[in-house]
Amino acid sequence: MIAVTLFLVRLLKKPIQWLGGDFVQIEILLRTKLTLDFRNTPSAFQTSGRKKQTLMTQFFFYAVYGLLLAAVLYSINDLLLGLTIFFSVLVVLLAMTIISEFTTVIFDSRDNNILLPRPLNNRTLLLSRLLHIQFYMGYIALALALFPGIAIAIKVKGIAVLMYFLAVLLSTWLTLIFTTFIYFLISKKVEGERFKDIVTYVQVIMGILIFAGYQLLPRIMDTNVLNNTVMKIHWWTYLYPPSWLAALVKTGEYSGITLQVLLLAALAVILPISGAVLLIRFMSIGFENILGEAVVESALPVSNNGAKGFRSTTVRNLICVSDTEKAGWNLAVATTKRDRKFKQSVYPYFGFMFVFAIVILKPDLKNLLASLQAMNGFSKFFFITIIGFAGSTAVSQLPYTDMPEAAWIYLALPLQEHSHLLSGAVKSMLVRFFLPVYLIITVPALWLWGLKTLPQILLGGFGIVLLILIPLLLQNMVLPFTQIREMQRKGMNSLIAIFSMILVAVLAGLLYLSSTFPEWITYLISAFALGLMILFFRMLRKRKFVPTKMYQ
Amino acid sequence: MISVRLQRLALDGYYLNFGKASMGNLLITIRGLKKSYGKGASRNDVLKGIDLDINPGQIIGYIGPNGAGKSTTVKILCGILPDFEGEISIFGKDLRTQSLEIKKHIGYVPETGALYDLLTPNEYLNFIGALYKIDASVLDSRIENLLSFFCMEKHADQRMDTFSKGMKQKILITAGIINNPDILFLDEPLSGLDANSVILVKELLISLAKDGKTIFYCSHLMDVVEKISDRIILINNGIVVADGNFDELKTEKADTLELLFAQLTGRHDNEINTADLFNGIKRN
Repeated sequence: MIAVTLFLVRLLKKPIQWLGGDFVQIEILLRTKLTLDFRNTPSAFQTSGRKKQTLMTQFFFYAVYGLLLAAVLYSINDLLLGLTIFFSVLVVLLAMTIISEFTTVIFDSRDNNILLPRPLNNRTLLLSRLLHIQFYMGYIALALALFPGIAIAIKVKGIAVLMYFLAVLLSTWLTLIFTTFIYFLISKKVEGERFKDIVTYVQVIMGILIFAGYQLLPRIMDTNVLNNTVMKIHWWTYLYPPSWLAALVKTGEYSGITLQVLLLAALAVILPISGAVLLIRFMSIGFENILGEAVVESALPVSNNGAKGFRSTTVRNLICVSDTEKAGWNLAVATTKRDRKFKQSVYPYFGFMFVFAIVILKPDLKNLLASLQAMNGFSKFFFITIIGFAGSTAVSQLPYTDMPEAAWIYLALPLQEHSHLLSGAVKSMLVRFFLPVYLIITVPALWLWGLKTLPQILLGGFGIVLLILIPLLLQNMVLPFTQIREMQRKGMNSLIAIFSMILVAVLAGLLYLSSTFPEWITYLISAFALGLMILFFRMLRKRKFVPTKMYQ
Repeated sequence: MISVRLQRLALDGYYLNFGKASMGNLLITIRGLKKSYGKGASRNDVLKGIDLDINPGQIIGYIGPNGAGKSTTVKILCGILPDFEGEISIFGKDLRTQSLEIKKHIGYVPETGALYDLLTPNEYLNFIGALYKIDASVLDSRIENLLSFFCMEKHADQRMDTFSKGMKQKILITAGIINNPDILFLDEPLSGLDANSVILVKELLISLAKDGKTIFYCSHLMDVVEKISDRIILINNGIVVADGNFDELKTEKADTLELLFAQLTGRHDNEINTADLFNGIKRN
């Protein structure tokens, strides 16, 4: 796999040099980075150790998701329209993954001490990072595009299928340089150190904007006549990147190619190239500064918010059963408050989930209140649970750290109940990231749909916590902050987000079902769910901690 | 035995024909160097105006208490922290605008074991060498010679994540001089090394300096600094508080560098502190 990638990069030698990158250095940087990615790390409690397998699992699930897209693509007669829809979904998914998971790779400062003293220019450094990300994103995109590609091959003659895979790769590059472009634009206005803080918020805002743009599409998809509609090209079609990519594939069909299609297809080729020139040749100045500033972020004194700390302590003492659990809580709270990479992985999901909910529910914006009130049972429960579920990312990010070697402490301490550390940390994440959001949406929900939804909201809350706890009980136990953030695992979160939609939908369905019963039954089930939750926490605490490979 | 090994390195053309021609010219000039982290109330001034002129062929011991700004200075000089106030020129080139040219001729040995430890020494050193675009055959013989100098040749193809701190340190030092630099910056180069390796590195530094290279290193090992440095620069609270060779710096009261250090940086009340500390531990 690495060999194939390096071969492809060698084909790009001229363009890379033309962009101002040093080809020899980029090649060795990429080779080394990919070699590192695929070597297994013998850390204290490594549970993986099968990195290629991780990537293959991801490939499989993305391909399964692609199967759904293939069905949609196949059923739409107009190629241009079908492809535009397909590329819209693809670009949004890619953007979501890049924003939430690969941003940290662009601004990674862990190897500053290794790379910055060497004679590498900004362009080389940036380009090597972008190509490194492109490797993983290209992989994800190809997995998603595999089955739709087969649909194209069956349905469309000519070299359309070749153009299609070219367009898929171009779409990842386009999305990657567009997001990086936004970051750099902001870095010009904001100074290095503050920029790092702002990136997190930019991620949330960008996530929302991209999804908001995406909102246009389901509205078109709504019409039943979609299958037989022919896409008309308006002036704004030229501003919509997925339609460029669709047009590029269309040119491979040989028939029905108009000047408009050719123009759109030209944009699909020109924009990734000119965007790369703009970004790498002209905007990469100061990239070193952004990286350099990050080295010293820990030099700043930490401000402690006294009043907030008190409240949090009260809650902690109330729901933690042992001192070890409290210690786990404290560790998780202190670490997640300051770890930028944690924030960058978690915060965007709140934006995504919110817009996801809006996209799926499609409330009438002109008549928002009435349309929300008129929402049917299933939709409103889906809305509540999907937003509540965003907090689960915080729990799934708990194992990750940049300093896995610090995990020696868990082995060196005379500690028996390692699992209490985990349960305490999980509790703190639920209280910090799930509870507030859920309480906040409870208020408008009760106001919109009346007090009669209260039992369902209660049950929904317990249901979400159970959904978060079940995977923890099924997987190998991983203590907080002991796993390195591996390149292969990036892309996993977006994948989990997509598939957890199904679980959330099931939960919402159950809530809907329960709303048809008398209220007392729902309360009874809620009490049962609460009991189950307590039981699950107890089971989590009872789990034995087995370090799979000892520290060497 | 060390001298034999050093000779072998020299035969490799390793540190011959360099530097001597430029003797007498200023190699590094630093004017009004300031660096701070953070803004507003949380602003932390680490360097508050450092002026230094450094000649080639010297070993400079850069010392100071923890947090005095030693590592920050070194990181600025080798381009890891590009954002600073003041003027720095190295080889007569401006560090801000010509850092790429400068970086080709400097080496850096970081304080923390920053290397890709999933690689083997051979892989890592080849990677670093390739970034400097060293000719493959030259690079191969350099790696071989340097590894055997540090008695690491039998570990050349083992992954470094199993290495001890000292073994990693040897690889870091090797990576720092792989490009045959004219100036070598070292941040605590002796940390983790065994006694034999300390002698080895000291000899290496001395002979590099004899050959016209400039060594700029931070250390807490006062006796080593005292012995091998041509010039000692002591910083405290972000400013230079003493600068000269050991004979110039020592006074009647402070005739070792350790005492001098304690005198100048205000750490002579150590005894009282330790007593308090022990009482504190006993009470709990």
